[in-house]
Amino acid sequence: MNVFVLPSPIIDATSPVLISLPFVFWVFKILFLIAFAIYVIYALVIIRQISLMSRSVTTGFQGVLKLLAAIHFFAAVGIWLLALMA
Amino acid sequence: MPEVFNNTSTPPISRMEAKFKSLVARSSVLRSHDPTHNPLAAFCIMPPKVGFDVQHDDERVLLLLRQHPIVNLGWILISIVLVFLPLLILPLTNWLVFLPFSFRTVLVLSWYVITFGFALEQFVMWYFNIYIITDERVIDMDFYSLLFKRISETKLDHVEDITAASGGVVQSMFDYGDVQIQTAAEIPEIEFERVPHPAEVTKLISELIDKEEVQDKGTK
Repeated sequence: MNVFVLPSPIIDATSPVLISLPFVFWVFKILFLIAFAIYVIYALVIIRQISLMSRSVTTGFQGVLKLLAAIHFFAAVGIWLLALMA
Repeated sequence: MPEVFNNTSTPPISRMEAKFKSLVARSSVLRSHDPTHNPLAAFCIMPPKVGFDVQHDDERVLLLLRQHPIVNLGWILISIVLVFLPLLILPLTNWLVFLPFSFRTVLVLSWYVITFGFALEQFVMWYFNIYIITDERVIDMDFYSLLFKRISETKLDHVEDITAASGGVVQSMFDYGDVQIQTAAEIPEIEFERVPHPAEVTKLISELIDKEEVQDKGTK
């Protein structure tokens, strides 16, 4: 046995400290949902900024960038919903 | 019919074209390159589809510059590492075992979305940080982050001094560097950072200034 590894209450069932696994999962999930909601807002900001930058400079490539930003935003929303249902 | 109704003068668009053609004919930099059609190029000579919001009706974009593509190497390497990191780390760790499999999948997917977002942001910052030289002005559009931008411009006849600086192995190898433009306007200096072919940029601006001076003398 490796004496330098402390027994984890989450991984090790023989640990003297008992923490409910579902409780840890729910705390983790709620924190993740809050953090990723902020990320979804950031993804929205990227869309808005690409739109504003495209208004400042026209180069003929903005359509692709707007599409990529939209894919990124909808992927972020999709993951947030998946996390909510997981 | 009275003479006044016979419009024999050159239409304004033709005059603009003629002015532009004479400008191209007089500039060795513009003459030696074909118009750039690649929207991702960092050194675009007379790009046909480029315009900007403060552009005048009779103003033509002669040169559009971005930072040299090699400056993107850092974030591209970071993105590649970020793509492969979960594949390397996940088999070695067991601290996620308290999470159900579906939530672990969500975590991995979110990692890839964040990596994509990081790469997209870095690319957008490079793509929209541009320097424009027109037949009237020099314009520097800086987007410091997704939320802050600064646009500086100076007229060609306000340009006092131009300096091209290039140093180090990488800059010499890929022929890129900084171009500093001292002006007599309110903004004392405009700097083009890490642009390709700084010597050619300097030469073009010098040729345009000479043309402006010839025009000024002609009108006096």
